[in-house]
Amino acid sequence: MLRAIFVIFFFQLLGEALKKFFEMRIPGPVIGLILLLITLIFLKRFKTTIVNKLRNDVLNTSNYILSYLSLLFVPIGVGVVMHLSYLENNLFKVLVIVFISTILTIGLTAFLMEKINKRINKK
Amino acid sequence: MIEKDKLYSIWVYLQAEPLFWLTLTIGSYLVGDYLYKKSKLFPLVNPVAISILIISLVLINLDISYERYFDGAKFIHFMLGPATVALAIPIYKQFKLIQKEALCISVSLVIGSLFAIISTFALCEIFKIDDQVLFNWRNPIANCNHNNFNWNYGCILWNFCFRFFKIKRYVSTWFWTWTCIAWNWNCTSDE
Repeated sequence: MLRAIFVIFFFQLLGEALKKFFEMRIPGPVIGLILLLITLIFLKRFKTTIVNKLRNDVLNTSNYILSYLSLLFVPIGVGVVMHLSYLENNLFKVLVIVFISTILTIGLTAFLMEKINKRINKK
Repeated sequence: MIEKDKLYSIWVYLQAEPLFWLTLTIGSYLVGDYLYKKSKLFPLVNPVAISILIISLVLINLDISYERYFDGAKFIHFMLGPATVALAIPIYKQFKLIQKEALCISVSLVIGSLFAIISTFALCEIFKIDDQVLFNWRNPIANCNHNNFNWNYGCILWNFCFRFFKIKRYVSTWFWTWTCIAWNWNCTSDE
């Protein structure tokens, strides 16, 4: 557990450092994610016990963190609710906009996915 | 009346410390989670929404500022970074599938996230909302916590939409992951 947490934090640290170094606009954790993914795929070839142990540890701990992913959004969500007064009298409009654009976006993306998938499978 | 004074002094002591707000956040989330499971995973009984409701009611009624609450809850918020890194694991596990369908994922997600930005701005134009209003709303929150607050505002809608469009379950897992990343990117790119 502790080793896995170290690995995950280390990759995030690496990501943040790279982001600052190259002045990238991609968030640090996302760079860390990509690095961790590459490392995991690279380590697939090594089948020693230490690597296997560490990998299983990272997989289990990550699954544990991800099972509570939505809890991590609560503090931000409270912020959104507590600052609603900044919207003045636009609250209803914003709700409608968020609703419409979310439905349209998810719908369009899912639609595209299905269409492209079908076309590929036909070939 | 000494008792009351004592209770009040305990409260004054506790509300200045992070522990109380951490306990409240996790506790209210557990309540939300319990109700969600009780309702047989009905999408509108969202645990996040319920816990946000409970915490906001507590904060408003006790007249606590968001900054004070966030000072405690920032430890939970901090875990968002490591959780993002941990998203490498579902991708790693489904990597064969992602490779197989790389074309359709990348095309639909790029178009989808572009559409998300464009449609929101277009709708703001149509409804005549001043950009400044939205930025005013966003800034105090964004200042506290690095700009990724509108990361998953569509959480509830997801379940409905996937049922509606009859997307296969396994597709939704990594689909969701990548959309998260794409949205996170959108939010940070206008810093």
